[in-house]
Amino acid sequence: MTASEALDLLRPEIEPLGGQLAEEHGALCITCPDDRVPQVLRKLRDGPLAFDYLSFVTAEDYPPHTEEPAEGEGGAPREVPGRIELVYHLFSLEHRVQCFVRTALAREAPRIATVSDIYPGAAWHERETYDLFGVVFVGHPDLRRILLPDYWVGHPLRKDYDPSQTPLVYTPEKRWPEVADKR
Amino acid sequence: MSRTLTPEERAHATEAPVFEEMILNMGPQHPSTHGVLRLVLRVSGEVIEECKFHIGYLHRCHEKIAEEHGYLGYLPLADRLDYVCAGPNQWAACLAMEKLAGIEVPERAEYLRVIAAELNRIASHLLFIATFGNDLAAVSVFLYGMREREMVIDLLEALSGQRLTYNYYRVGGVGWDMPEGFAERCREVLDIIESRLPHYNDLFTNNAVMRARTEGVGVVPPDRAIAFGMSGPTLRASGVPYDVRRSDPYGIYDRFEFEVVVGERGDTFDRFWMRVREIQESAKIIRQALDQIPPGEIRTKLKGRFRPPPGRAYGHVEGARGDVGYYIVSDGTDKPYRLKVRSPCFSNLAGMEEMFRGWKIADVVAILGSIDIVLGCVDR
Repeated sequence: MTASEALDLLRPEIEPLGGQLAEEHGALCITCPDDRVPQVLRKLRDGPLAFDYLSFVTAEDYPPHTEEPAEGEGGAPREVPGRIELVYHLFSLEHRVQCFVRTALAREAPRIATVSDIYPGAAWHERETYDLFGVVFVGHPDLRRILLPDYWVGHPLRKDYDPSQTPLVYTPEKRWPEVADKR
Repeated sequence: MSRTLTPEERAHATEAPVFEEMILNMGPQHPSTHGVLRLVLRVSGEVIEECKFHIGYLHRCHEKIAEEHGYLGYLPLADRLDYVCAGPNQWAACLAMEKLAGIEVPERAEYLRVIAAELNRIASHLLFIATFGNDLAAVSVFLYGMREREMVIDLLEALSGQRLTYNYYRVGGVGWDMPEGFAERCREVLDIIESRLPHYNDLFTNNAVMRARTEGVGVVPPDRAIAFGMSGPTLRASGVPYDVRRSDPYGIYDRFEFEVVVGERGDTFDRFWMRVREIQESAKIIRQALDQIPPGEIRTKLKGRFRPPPGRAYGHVEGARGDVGYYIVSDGTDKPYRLKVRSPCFSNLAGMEEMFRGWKIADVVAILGSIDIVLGCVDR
């Protein structure tokens, strides 16, 4: 099935939930408000296209910036607030269609409901997104860092991440002062 | 003189033994974890009640490095993601970048990509057979698997100059053309490997100990496998025919005749058997590709610096372990704004946590070996 056929089929189901549908590089692309994500994913999984396979969950970070007005248009530069965009990639094994579900969260203390009850495989992906972006998934069974150690400070894939926040545990100066002196 | 038991002692002795619960740590340095993976097992006697994985020991910040070094600077590192089956990772990255920039790949390059990827799949599956034998204490299988894999790796070396992480794929094509005599040698090697597979079956697949340790052990039900996003032979062993080469065809895979091998029971043995069968299917694809390959260009020349227009693209291919994908967000510069790696091993491993429940400690080694994890691929 092509993405445009899928788009027509899903429009009556998703639009009442506040989702907007589009097509991008042959994949279906749904943008929806953050509080509707679990509902939309449940609809997609149990709906006519049966999106039963969640490939990954990830995020994109957009820090706040000032946008210059377009040429020809006057006016003052516009302040654009920062946001974190979450991306869920789904695949329908039966109908062979890809689908992206996107939503935007506030950049300060981003929170969203977990989907690990709908797709159990999302649990680890959400842990990874928490680890690298600091998005808190409410209702997650075990929200801990997954790739980085527990003592890590900050979320490295954020654009304003400062690596010096995390103290290095094994500096030679601390562990072997005599070696550090000779250098 | 032996002492007679008191009535209380006798009553206690006939009761079912009471095991204390114990927390057992396995890894991160453990020979059967295929890298640095730490398992924390809560066991009651020999039986596993709960299993937790701790990953991240091999986290090399692929995604952050890509943001710093740009598209083409990152590409050689994509090889190191899953160092046992390097080519398909690069292919997925190239696929996403080509989608972003709208670049066409010449016909001959498409064939060369298929040949390299399938040779790599054979090498990876041979290594799997070898290490799986080693996990089950059949050390001689390890030697034979390595011997055959060496021939395939020599072919990759002839193609690209490198053996394991051979950096062969480029945005818009491949790095080098086939050297002279490559096709003949390739066919020869495939014949040799296929003629030796029956020997492996005699030695290992039909071995009673191997069967006893794998048949019916660690069954993954198909609905759980899908729910956890498992892929590759691990998913197909449970009877789900999901293969990116067929389900979402990329490159020129729609031109080849091959079978998507699926299992029936989803147990450890099926996961092993899938790989043996897939070696034959890959050989079939390579033979067809060698017959059909047309002459011509091997790479589309990039104009200036590689700066894809702003947008998002996702490319995924079937690696030896499953569905490996790259999701790239471009902002119009020569560095990706965001690059996400979807790794098959990560999802395969996530689903295994609950599959260990109820099995014995000795089975852990067999089950974990059968999903063929590469920790470089899990941790990225």
